[in-house]
Amino acid sequence: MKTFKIIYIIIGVMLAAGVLISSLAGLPEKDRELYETACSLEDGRTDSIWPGLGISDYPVALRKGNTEYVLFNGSVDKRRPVLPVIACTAYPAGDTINVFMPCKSVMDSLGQIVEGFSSGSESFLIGQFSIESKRMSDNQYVALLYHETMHALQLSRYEDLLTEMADWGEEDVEEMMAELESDSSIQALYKEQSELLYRLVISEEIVPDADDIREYIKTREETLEVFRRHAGDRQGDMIGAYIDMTELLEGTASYVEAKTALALNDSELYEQYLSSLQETLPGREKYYKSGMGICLLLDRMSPGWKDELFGHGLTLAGMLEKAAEVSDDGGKEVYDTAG
Amino acid sequence: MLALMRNTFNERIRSRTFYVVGIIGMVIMLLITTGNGNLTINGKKVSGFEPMVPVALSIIGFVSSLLAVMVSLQTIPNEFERKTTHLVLIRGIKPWQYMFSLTAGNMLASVFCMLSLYVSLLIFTAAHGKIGLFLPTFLCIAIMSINTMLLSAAVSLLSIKLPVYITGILGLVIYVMGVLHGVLDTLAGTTQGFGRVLADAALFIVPDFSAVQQQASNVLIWMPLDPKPLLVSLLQLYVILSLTFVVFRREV
Repeated sequence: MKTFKIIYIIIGVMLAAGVLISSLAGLPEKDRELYETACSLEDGRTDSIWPGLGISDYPVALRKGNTEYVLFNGSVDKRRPVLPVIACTAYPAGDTINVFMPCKSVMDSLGQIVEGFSSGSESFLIGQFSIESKRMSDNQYVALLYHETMHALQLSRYEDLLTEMADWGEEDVEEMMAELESDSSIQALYKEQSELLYRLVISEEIVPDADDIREYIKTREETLEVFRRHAGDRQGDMIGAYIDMTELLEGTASYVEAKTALALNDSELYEQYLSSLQETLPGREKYYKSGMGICLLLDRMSPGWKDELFGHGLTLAGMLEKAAEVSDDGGKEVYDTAG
Repeated sequence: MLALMRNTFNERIRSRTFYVVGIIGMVIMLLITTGNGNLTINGKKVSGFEPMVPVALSIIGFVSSLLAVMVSLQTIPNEFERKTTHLVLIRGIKPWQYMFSLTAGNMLASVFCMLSLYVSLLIFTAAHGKIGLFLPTFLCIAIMSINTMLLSAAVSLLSIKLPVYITGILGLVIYVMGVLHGVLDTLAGTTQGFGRVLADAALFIVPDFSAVQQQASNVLIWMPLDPKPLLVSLLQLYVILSLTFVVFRREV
């Protein structure tokens, strides 16, 4: 019995030591690898995605459980999470803007939850009980890292502009929109918008047809008009400003995400971003997609648009409209934002 | 102690429930590994033997977990009901040795159940000439057995104090929460306040079966293994087994 007790205690000590040592290991190797992959795009590829974009310019806080691993300037520091909840965002921490992301394993779980909501509880449960659960691809994670890095860039360079744009009083625009969006005429217009935009983005013409673009813009205006009819002019204007701001902030970030996939040579993932333009998503996410689609069109119609967009307080839809006008005046001319 | 474990093991594998559920599991597995049905995963049709292996492993993992709960549920309560406890204790065996042996016997029986289900998969792997799959499948089974032992030990520990039906329900709750641990953990991370504290406490106690499953999956596709979840689960198993030294019924 004495031998049993000794062996039993030794096993316990060994297990406790093993857990302790593995806990001290810090940031999972996988996450470090993915961060390095993201940094490797700074060999010139990120400049073609967005001028001045660089993940190594900001501390990146990867959260796992109740620990945050901050990667910056070649070092990894451990700290208590700054934000109270798991979030993918960019936010000031201390005197710098930080990029906040959950670790890859947490993102996999989040992806499964989100997919569970969209694909139904049955397949979600089957997925959970299966040993092979669906995971987010590495490139998708890197693309998301760049989505948040784009927000960090927006915050660090254009904070005043963004604060000014978001100033529409106390009213909850999102709540108001959610109520109005249940209207079948608005839903039909949204569907039409996403189909038109998708067709424009995937069209093989170098400069998309100006008439098609005008039709797309017209459908957007019609949608806004229906909002105005239902909610009144003031609220309608607020909704318009909200859409413009969401497209500007999130649309450009989603565009960066899609372009990152392309920079990683993951054409399959890039195609997924393109086909997501056809979906009519609920809530504000639809403006992530429409903003992304407009950015992809501006790439073809207005070289240099990225340099002008934030600095001159323009909106994506406004830029597209201008680009269509120029294209219309001069055949297949492109719109030079610099004048 | 070894004799007690052996007796528990022998008694458990004689149980009719074990054979019935075991045969059902085997039939399901045979159908999966041999059938050319319309199984689709993530929208893609799965056909051929190789892609079926993870499916078979998942189904057997599920069936053997249910078996682990059933096998471990009644062993200890039956001992008290039949008054065998007194007969054992008057022979100088201490209560902690007795509870530990019964729990360890349950664990062995649960693992045996699991292995008996997996044997046919290994036979099929050999029959299809997929010898290369042997090692990862075997390692995958070894990792999955940690979950089975942990579930069995947890149910055995609960059965010392609680009525059978409550233990059964709790066993299933632990299993489901354990499998959903990763997702629940993530969801808990999106909440704040008292709910968060409560969720964190519950998830601290419940074993993380999902993390162990994840490692089993990694082995199967030759991805690097993270030892931490396996070590944490083994430590939890150790703690549960240690609790059998101090938890006992008044009758003991």
